Amino acid sequence: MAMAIDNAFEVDFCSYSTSTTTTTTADEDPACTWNHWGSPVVDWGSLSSERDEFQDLIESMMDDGTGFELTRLGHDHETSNSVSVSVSTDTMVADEETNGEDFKGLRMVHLLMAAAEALMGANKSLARVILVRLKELVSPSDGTNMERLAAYFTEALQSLLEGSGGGHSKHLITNGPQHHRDKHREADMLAAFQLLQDMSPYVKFGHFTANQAILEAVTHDRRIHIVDYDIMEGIQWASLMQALVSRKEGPLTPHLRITALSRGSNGWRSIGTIQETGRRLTAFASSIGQPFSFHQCRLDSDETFRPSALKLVRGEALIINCMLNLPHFSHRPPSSVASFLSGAKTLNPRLVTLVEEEAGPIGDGGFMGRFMDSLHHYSAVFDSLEAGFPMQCRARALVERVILGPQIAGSLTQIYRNRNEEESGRWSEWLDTMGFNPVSISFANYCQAKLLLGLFNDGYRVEELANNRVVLDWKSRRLLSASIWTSPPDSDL
Amino acid sequence: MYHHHQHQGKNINSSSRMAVHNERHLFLQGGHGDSGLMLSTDAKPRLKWTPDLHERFIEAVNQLGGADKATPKTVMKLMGIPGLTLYHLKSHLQKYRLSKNLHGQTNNGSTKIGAVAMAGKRMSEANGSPMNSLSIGPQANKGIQIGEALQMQIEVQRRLHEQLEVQRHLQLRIEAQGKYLQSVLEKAQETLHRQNLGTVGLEAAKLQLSELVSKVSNQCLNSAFPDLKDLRGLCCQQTQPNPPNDCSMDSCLTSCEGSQRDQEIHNNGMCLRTYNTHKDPLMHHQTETKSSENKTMGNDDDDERRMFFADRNCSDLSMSVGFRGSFSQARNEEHSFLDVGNKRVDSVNRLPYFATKLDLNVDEKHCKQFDLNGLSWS
Repeated sequence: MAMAIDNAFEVDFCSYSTSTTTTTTADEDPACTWNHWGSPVVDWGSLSSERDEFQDLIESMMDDGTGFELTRLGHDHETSNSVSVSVSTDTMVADEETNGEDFKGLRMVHLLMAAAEALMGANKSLARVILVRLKELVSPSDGTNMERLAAYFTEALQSLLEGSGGGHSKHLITNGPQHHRDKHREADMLAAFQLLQDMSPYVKFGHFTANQAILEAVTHDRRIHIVDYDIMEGIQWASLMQALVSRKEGPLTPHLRITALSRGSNGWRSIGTIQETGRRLTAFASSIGQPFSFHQCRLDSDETFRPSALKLVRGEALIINCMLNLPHFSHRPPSSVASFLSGAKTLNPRLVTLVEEEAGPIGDGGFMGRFMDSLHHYSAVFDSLEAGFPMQCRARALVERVILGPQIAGSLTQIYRNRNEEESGRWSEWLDTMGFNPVSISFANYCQAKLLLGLFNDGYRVEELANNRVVLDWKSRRLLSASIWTSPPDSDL
Repeated sequence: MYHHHQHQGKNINSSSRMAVHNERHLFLQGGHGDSGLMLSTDAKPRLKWTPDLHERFIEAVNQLGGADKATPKTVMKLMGIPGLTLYHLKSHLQKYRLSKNLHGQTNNGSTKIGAVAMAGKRMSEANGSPMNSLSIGPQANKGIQIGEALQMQIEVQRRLHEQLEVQRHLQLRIEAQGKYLQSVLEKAQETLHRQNLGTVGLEAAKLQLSELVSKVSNQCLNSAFPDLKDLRGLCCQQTQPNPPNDCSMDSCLTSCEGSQRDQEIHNNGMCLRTYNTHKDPLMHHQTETKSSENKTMGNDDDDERRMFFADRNCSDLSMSVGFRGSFSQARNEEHSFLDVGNKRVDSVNRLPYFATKLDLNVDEKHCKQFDLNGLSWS
């Protein structure tokens, strides 16, 4: 199910699998559904100021040979639809149902793009209309991958539109009344996280690559201190502890100290608080005989990191661990990450491990470019889950709803917030310019990554993009990047 | 293609740095400026043919007109190295001739063989132990190729070894992570459970989810690490004391074929919706509960999965859910549940660290009716 990802307008979504869908979409009766949202007549004339760009958009899409969805508005299916869209009708394509899902997928992409553009142009009413239309077409719980993906993007755009932002969109589809939702959410979160771990290598890839690099860097140390930017449930450290306990060279079973950065809220998607994480890690460590201690370091309210708040011990190997935007992690504001990494630099850590989402070529840049890139990114993620577990629609739907949906919302919120800024680029590049030195990823580490991916579907691949950076790909799409750095020598002068 | 043998010593040094460090039985590198002979301490008068020495040998041979024309005596005279005996030169010359012939007949392949042979000979000389397999003869050009070939071999071996190590470590690490994750989920479940005694819908949701999770876990692990059956010990212990038996599963428990899983797409949503609308106090089905208690997925393994489901039909909910390990499907349809005749238990492997242990009601005493409205356990 490879997806050719070239240009925004040449996206080929034709190869989406057809997962079984057991409900019908709400697409069947446009006339009726238009009537549902109150005003059966959309007076496009009132949107005259933006109409030109919208017209252009429609026409450009029609020129692409795909019938834009709105052309249907001008047609009557059953009743007379008094939508007046004065679009040049000669090229209007009527009801191309022939290509079925491909066509529909493409149409949805175009709609999404139109909505995003409208949002960028601060044309809220237009965006709203398009989003409504999209919502009629797609649903997060059934349809093909593309349709469900479009549903989540629609929701994310919707929350942007309403300015609720915040990264944790609560407008997700829920199945119950409010008071049930929170409790369901936790139960869902647990199961979904477990599923995600089992179904995909994303989380493990980041954790294991970082851990292996850490292990190699501390072979002769007796004391290790790790500062974890976003510890979540602390899962990464279980396997590190196991490896430390069983290491054969250097001082056996060195003492491990972990300092977790804590914020006001641990992110609504984390299971439990940081204190609980600390307790769990402590219990686990004692169960395997790993000397261990756990600390917290509070971030400021604006999530600025103050290195002086850390408690450092002489002679320990300091490791900075930064996992960004792994699935089920919250999107942290760039300013926070920047303050953390620059603060880290002042501490001269032995090693900095950084795992982040890998963005593709942005094209023209700006909001639209990043929006499309995000669409491609999550499309690949959805595909990868489906390829591995084609029959487990429910499981995937759960993961999508609980983990990926919010992640999409967070991603779009971040993109939107930073839309007027320069290319944000990769944090690994930022580290480079900050003066950190790359540390090669060893053969063993690379080998481990390949073996790990081999446990999953063979569409996953490891690419070595630099000698200190490996990237996890799904088919041809790069998804996650892990890079290793160290302080330059003699840098405390 | 012969490389110049003059570069041999240095090239070996530079290009096989790593190999040299790791392999203690590599032959010693050249770089001996003096012409001193290195004689081993064996009983046999073995001479260490260092690269330098060999170079001089070849010079001498070439001066004499080639390997065929040269004789041990003349070579010895020409080289003029004290301590070099005819015996040494005879064998060396013979090997040299052989290797030249080999090269003359074939191409690189034999070159490499010759190189390896030469290297092998050197190694044996260094160790003092004979290497019988490769005695093809000395290679005329012991340049880079010996170093390279040998280095390649060593490197390949090292990498293979490393890969095996990596694989082993990976297994252990994944287990550790899984174990930890299980503990996270367990504790969270416990917390949730305690908090949510009154929530009907949650139980149902958990049910669905637990089922989903184990289903996926087991499927995805079918291909992974099949030899970890014995790691069952890592798994959380069996807390359900019920002996496994295939007693009449005439209620509650169902399992369906894999192909039917897709039918459950809506169950999650439907289930929740249903429960949300049924807010009346739940009566439990005593009989059902009891029978469900006794029911386990008949399985000889320790890791069983037991799922007890509510019968939604009656709009009540009595649950006692504890499951682990292999999966069985439960179909939540409107009608009563079928028996477990066609249960599918994965006996391929029990990978306990992936098995979710969402023991919502683990103890037997909890496997009873509970009055969800009254928030009490009976």
